[in-house]
Amino acid sequence: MSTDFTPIFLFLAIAVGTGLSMLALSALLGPRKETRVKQMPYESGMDPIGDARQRFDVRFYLVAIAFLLFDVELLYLYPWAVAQWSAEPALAVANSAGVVLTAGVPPIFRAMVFWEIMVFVAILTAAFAYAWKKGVFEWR
Amino acid sequence: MTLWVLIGIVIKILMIVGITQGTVAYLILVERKIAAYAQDRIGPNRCGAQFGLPAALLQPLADGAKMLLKEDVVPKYVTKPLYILAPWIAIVTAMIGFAVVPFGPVGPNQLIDFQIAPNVDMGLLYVLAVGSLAVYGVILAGWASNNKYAFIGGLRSSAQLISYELPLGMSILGMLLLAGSLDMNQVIAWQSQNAWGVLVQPLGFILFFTSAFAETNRLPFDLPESEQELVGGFHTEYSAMKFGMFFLGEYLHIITVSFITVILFWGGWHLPFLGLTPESSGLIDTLLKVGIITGKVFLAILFIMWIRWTLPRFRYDQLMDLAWKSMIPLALINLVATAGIVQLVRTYWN
Amino acid sequence: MGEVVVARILFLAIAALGLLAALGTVLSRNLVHAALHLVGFFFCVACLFVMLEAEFLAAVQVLIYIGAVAILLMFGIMLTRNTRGDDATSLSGPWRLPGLVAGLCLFGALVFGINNAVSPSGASPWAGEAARPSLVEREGEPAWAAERRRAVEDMGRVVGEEFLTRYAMAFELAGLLLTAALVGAVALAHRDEVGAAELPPTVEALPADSAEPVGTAAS
Repeated sequence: MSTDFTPIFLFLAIAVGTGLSMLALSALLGPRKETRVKQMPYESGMDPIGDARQRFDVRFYLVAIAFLLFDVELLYLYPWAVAQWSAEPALAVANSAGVVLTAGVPPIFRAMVFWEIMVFVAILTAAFAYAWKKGVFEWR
Repeated sequence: MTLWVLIGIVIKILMIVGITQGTVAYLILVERKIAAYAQDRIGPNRCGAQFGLPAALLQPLADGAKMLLKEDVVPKYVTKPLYILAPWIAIVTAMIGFAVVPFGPVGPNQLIDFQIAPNVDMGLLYVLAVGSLAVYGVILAGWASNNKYAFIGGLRSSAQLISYELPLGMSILGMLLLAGSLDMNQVIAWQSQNAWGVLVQPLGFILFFTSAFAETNRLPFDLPESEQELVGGFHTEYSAMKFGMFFLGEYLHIITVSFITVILFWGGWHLPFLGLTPESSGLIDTLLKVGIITGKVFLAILFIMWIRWTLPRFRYDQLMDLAWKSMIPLALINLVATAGIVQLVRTYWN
Repeated sequence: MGEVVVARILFLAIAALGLLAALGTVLSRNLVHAALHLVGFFFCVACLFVMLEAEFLAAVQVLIYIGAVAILLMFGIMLTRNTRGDDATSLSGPWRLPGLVAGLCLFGALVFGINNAVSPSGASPWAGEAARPSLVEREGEPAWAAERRRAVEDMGRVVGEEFLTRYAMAFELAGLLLTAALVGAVALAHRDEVGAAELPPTVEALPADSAEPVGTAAS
């Protein structure tokens, strides 16, 4: 089992505790005077008309889809970016434990991998251009 | 992992939590002072004068006490569990981003590891992952408030946050390619041996810093809370400490992005002519490194605050156009150009 | 020994939480609550990936599933008016029996597949080992320790290397798949100017007394 992430989970626990204690302290220390007007949704002093949770434009949804796809693309590119040149002994740097690790794309494959990535980026740029042309990114 | 190691980690975490929260409190004071200076006012100058302290040094304490002592209104119309969950998510996600940020030198021969989780070898990926969680606080707050201003503000804000996450992530790819690691310590080490990121990746730096502004909801990107149209945006219905938690979270994000900017592009603890190397580990060198990195971070924060009083706010369509029609294509060009140049130089030059 | 017990307890706790979250996803009537339970479940899966030393996968799980897919779900939920849920979203109705059968079939297939899984021919020499190699080289460590250390401590680079050499074809196909997904989504959800009448009206197009607000009142 990996213990590298133990500090992160400890930190998460402490952050959760801090957040909860802030909520609790505020609830305990603050005064409470409920009035009818305070319980209304704020709408610049007007009585609210209709439900606040209206349907919204489908454009937000399309932006979210485009974001999802490019986020996945990015995650494919990160391992490439760190692997492309790290097998070079001249570039090797010791990590936090003092170990020099030189995994990475072997030198003979470098040119091929470079063109692979260019093709990959080109494919996704085509998708981006299509979405652009279709007007996904137009906001009236 | 023994008990003592665990206790040491807990102490480190508590210290960092305390220091960052205290810094945030004083950053709010700094921000108000800068605002006052920009607008030719004096700004807060009373709190603390009773005890002979200059320049409102106790103002943050008063602010904090006010947050806690005001009435915590929970309106009848809200979806209560989510309404309470949203600020909590905002602050937790803002806090845990610090887990992999190196505050100083890290390594086997150093005095202390100035990092909570030093052995996580994909620190940048972790920061990006935690950063992507911040959307939840905003979107849930907007939805749970059951208020038109909050709903529209939350929607706009979440669309803005996800749109700018892409250029943010893409702009660091060039730096990763050069340094060959997702570990921030190794990125700093590479910069200390070669050149600062801002020199070799100028376009990447500009794109990263601009998206960082948008990710922290700072002016000119503070559309979600554009007061004139949306009152308070997604936190219209929040009061007392729940509002304060959104506020704290926003400032914690500013500190985090400043650290990442300094680490990726401004050379981390490196300054030319000082002779600091990744291995140097004496007491003086350690103190120097911590001082340099925090000094640079402070400069970055001051710059972010200065920009606030310099630029007007974008319109929403301009904001989305900037992300999708300028910054993402530019980031793609930066990536392709960097990859090509590095390929040429490293293949044929050496 | 102690570490194995701790790991087992942690696994059981995380798995139980994950199951609870999954149940919450299925049983909540409110769609937003269901989506949040799903996020909790994704987080439990990420924790399990960390326990399995698949740290890159854990980061991907958080970044893609929690940070993008679930956000897309939330946006999708907010596109619909009916977030509270009614009988159509509960476990009753005509789809109850087919759903049950399909679920049981999937469960059976998974159980069968996992129980009869054969490790691939190029299995790692450390398969079945629980102990983690030390960060730095030690004398007398088993032969596989160095290779495993490389795989665990240098995961980002190893993943990149494998992606682009051994699995290069799959990598490019993933790019094509993403493109196809975007084209499909745009074709489904986006109307050209011809079909503009089907879009919700913009602010300018609204009659003066209409109370229907629109989310994207740009500027």
